[in-house]
Amino acid sequence: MARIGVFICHCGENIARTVDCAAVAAAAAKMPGVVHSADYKYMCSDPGQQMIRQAIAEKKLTGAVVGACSPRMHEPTFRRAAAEAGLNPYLLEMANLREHCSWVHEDRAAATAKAIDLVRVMVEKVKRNRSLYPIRVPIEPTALVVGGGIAGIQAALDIAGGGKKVILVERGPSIGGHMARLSETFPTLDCSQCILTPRMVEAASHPNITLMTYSEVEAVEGFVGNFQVTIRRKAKYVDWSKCTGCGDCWAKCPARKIPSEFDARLGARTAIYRPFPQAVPNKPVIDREHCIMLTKGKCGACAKACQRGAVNFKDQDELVKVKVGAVVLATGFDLWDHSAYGEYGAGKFADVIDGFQFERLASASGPTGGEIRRPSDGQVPRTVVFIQCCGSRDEKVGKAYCSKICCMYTAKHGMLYKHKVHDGRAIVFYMDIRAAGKGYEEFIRRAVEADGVEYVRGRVSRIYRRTDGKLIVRGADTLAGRAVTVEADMVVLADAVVPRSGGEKLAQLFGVGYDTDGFYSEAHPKLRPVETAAAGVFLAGACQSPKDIPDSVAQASAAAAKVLGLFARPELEREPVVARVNENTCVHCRACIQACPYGAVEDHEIRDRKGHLVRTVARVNEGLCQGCGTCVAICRSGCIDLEGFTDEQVFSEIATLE
Amino acid sequence: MSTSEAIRADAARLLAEGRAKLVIGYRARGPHRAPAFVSDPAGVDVLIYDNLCKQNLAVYLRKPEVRSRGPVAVVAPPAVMRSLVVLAAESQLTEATVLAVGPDAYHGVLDLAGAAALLKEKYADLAPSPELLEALAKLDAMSPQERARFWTDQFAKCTRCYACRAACPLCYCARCIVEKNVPQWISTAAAQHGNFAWQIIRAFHQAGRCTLCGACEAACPQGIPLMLLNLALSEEVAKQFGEKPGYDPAAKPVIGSWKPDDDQGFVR
Repeated sequence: MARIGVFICHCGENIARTVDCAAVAAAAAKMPGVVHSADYKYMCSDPGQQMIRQAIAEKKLTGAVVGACSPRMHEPTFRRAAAEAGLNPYLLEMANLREHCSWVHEDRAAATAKAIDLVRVMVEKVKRNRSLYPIRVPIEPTALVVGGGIAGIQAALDIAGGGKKVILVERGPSIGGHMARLSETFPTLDCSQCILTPRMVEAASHPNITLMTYSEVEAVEGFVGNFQVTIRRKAKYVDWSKCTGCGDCWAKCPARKIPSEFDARLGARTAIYRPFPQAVPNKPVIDREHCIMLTKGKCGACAKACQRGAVNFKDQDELVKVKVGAVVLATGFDLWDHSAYGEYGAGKFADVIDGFQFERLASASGPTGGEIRRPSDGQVPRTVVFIQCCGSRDEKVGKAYCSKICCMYTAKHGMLYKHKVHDGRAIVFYMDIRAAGKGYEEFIRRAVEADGVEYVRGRVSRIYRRTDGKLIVRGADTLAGRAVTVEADMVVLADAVVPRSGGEKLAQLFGVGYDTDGFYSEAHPKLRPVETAAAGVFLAGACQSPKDIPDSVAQASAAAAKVLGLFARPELEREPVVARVNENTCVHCRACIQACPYGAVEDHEIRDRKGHLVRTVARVNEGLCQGCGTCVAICRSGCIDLEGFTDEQVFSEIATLE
Repeated sequence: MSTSEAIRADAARLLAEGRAKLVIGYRARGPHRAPAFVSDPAGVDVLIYDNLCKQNLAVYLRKPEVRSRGPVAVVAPPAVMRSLVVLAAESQLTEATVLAVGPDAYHGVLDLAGAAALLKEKYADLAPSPELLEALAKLDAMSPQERARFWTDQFAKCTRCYACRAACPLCYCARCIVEKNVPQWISTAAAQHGNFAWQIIRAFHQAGRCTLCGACEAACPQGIPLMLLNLALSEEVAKQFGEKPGYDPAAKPVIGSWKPDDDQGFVR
């Protein structure tokens, strides 16, 4: 005989405001099989949980129904309480009286009647529940970090430092990401390369880190603890086991005018190249789109120059399969293409540049050797205008968000310019200054007060080029309430931060959500900012939202801590909500096998005692099953059931409402 | 040589050579056609083929009493060959020997791959009969209320004899959903509720699989126009997914498989 306990929560006022909780508890007490019924203001609180534990023990309950909030919120809480009192946690169910009832209704009588129905449904269900036990699956204690920028490097180093193996995958030929391109960093003006490159080397030489540069994630199978990831190692056309990185090859390459991605198209590179002198690994790849040998079939200058015979034009992409237990996505950001802004020259003026181009101009390793020389004629600009919020906070171009880093790097740019061109003018147009960070406001003040960067609050409406080459910047000074016109030699646009191209495809591979701007979605904006909806997949850096270096590094370490926490146990406990095939009635039509999005349904051969094949049926691999129920729906003869949500349970829930 | 004579000759040869232990074909029974099971080369004379041969003989191939006889050959017009291809796609058979007959010609003895190739080459555009298309157009032109009334009247005739299911080679479940009784989703009583549920579920379970052979409708003693349901769903599948079942033995099920470029227009 079922002995069911019912516990109705007021959720403070949340449920009690619209639902007569005492009446629900009284009605529940009369339901067949219910031997205990109570209501309380906060069932999730310690005294509330104690009521449940006590009733389970004293009334020898065989099942419990908690009428409260969504099971997404507190099912683990109440199931833990049940387990503490000795009841199998899967014999406790929740009736959602808040999201499904009180929050969405106003009529108290009708809402109370509905709440009683919701409780009755769950009482009928719980009578048919059976004890379930967590499924234990082994964890592969290797992490995959996707993206070799500062966030990816930090996450990889922290995980490797914790004693676990890491595979660091980077799309480009070198790790380092955007940080390697920066001249100096706010708010301390320390040299970006000086703090980054030692970490790059450390990542490359760490015994626990396997570096896979010039590689991309191709396919993902499996689940937390047991992902099988296929990685495409793009053809490098250079055998790195032979290459010493001497540079003879790129010195001889005749394709010399390819815009350098690293130098933000301000410099040129060859077809066989390393992106920058401090690249890690410090070995070249051949860009197959621009290589004369690979496109036209004749050249081979690099192969002739290479004394080690490392150049191999027949190199092919290679697919590598790896097994990992957790994944950190650290794919970073790009700058928005400001050519959509016709009023700022639609990207056609050589001297209207973006933040990265300014970084390269200011960098000692940049195309100008660190001298600020404008791209069009190499002259030192005497007046430079910086425009913040270029694309950011502009719903006209579909970007409502603040890009967060621009206020700070623009102040830095102004400073760097003033440090190099003492008599020059740096004028910043801004909407607001957002300098909320340690030492950030002080940094802005320093730019204004110590370095004389001029700040004008207002928008620039138009930039056009006069015949003498001057860029005429027309804007408003909203504090002074007047129009402003500046004759500038160069304009730097603080373009909006956007997610890296291809990010959506990667998210789909891993089952990670993303917002309308393409930034990856965290599992909870406050309480789970590093996790994603996909178990075992974590986020680090600007792929989630615009972030500066300290925030990216902090999140990367947080993601690493999550990975190490996951790897701290040899086995993973998984919810036993999995599908089960009735092998007596299965006819092996394989519809479920083909429908399963997780590849969790497999062919299973039933053999007699002598080993002769009797027949083949479908069987669910508990370790892979995510309990989505697709196979249950697809099975024409209805011979698959989902544990915890069996046909019988669902049927009885519906039947009791008749 | 007529088609019937050619079938007899091939059947006798297959049986004599041992390539088939049993040939399933058609024989005359008065003005009707009935299935013939021939295991002796001397008995092939009963086999005939003409346009009265409507039954889908593929239905026998999964029966244990037939399978236990050893290799079986079956007289197969295009609709039957398509059924065999679907059965192969659903891992219900791995091989088949067919005596392939078309409305225009006899194509001799083929294996499954040969049958699939023949279907693609010669019978890729099998059109339903004009009468059936006309009836469906009439049904489509009705208001939803009129259509509901039409089907209520039709389904009211159903006695739940399940002849439609027995005649269909694709209704091969060991336990049909209608016989699942824990819980019993579909009432087994021959009354409106259960009849509706049964008929609609039968049709949906055929969606993307039905080869429009017509065996179910021919078997129905109550004259329920099942082909209208089958055709409506087939056309919907063709329109939505561009798929026609029964041509590719390696095809994935239309319902239960997906492609990234599937039409999402229904999501609002």
